[in-house]
Amino acid sequence: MPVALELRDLVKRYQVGEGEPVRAVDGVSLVVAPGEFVALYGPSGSGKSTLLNLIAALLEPDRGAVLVNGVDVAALSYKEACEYRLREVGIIGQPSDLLPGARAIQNASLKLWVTHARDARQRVEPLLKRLGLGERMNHRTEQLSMGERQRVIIAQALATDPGLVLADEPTGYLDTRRGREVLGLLSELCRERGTTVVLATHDPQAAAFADRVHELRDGRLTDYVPDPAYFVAGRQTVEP
Amino acid sequence: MDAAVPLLSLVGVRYGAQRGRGRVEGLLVDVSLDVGAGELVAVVGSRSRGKTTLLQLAAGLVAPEDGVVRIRGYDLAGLSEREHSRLLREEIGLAGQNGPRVDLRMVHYVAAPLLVSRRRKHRRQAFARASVALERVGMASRARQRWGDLSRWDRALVDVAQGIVGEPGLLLVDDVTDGLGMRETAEVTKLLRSLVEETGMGVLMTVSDGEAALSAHRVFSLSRRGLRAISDQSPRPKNVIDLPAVRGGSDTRRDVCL
Repeated sequence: MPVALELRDLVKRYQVGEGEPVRAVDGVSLVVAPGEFVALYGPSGSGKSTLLNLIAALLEPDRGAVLVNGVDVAALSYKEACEYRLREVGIIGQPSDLLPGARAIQNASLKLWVTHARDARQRVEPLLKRLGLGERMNHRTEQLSMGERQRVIIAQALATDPGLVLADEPTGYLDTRRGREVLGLLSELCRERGTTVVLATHDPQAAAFADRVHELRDGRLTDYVPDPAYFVAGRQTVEP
Repeated sequence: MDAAVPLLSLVGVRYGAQRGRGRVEGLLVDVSLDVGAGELVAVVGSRSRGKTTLLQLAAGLVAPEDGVVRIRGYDLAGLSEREHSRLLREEIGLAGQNGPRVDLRMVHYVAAPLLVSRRRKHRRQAFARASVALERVGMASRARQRWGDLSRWDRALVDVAQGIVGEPGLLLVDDVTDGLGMRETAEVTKLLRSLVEETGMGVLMTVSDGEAALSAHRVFSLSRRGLRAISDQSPRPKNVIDLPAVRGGSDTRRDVCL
């Protein structure tokens, strides 16, 4: 089976105070196939964000490996890790990450301009239209609702056409309906593009959008079978 | 342009107003203040009191429901979209808690306002100017650190670097010292004061904590009762500036200085 992402016995500890280090990620192993949508479900403090930061090479593991398309990203140099995040990974951040005063299309194009891509507008415009922002492309950050800002953030993450998308609570600022819409769009877009998605969420309804859900508790990964009712409730409003 | 004309002037500005209990209440009601060149002005207020909105009004990113906002004497309400864009690009710097852009290198994050500029020459110079801005705030040697390894203090400095990357005449700083300790807060505001003194730019900063305003020339308090001056160490003469008629208001002359 082809593998897009593999986590091998990953451990990350944090020193808190003078006591024993806290194991934020405690021996996590996971294999994700290309184009698969995987959710890491767990309460706040369960290690979800740490795990995503390890996959994004923003943190170094104390033990284990993070293999993306067979390359251990934990072993990348600073420059290589920056390039990896710029070109191979789309990180869906928070609406507050948008540049103040910039237009939606400018914000969505930011990573492409960093890489001096010449066709930024041609690549980003269809994406924004697909995300329902065709009429809002020239609106500045402050003129957009939170739901619209979140969709700009998604466009920004997908603009470079990354093979892997990391989404950390991407619906945290949205109401239930908007949250479902955004997740439905993200799911559709990634399916169309064959993009691998790792979603971190504490919301079982958000997790229900994934092909596979794992529960993270105290830094350990377990299989998780969500309540079928959440599947229905989560997907009903966005899928025909 | 007349040197006496302030860089930024808000006159009788109202936003988010509601009429209740026989008077107008709201987020910002009848707010007037000005910022001159070479001046650091601080507005102290608790969360959700309208500090960010005040800066958005100052940059013309939201329009006031009443009153006038002027940059270098130009009424923002009278500017075309193109003129406003030019103003944002060339005159105004925004520094705020924009959240760490973890997928970008620090130099890319700082360069972002220039990268989104429509001017190609700005894009070409963006990274070189970002390096200069990082140097100016003392972060050049740490520019290769990961975001996750940066302290809040470091991030506040990087946010300031992003604000000054376009060498603006007016810098609007949104609560970058929030969550910092006293020493770190003092260092950030000292940096802003030195930027003001060296470059002659005007700075309007919002802060949650009065300690953060100690380096400011003038300090205002923003509360439910409105904007109130609480200290003035301005080097400027305390004079009265003639201003043209206020849109929608009856005042044709206002004392906008303390």
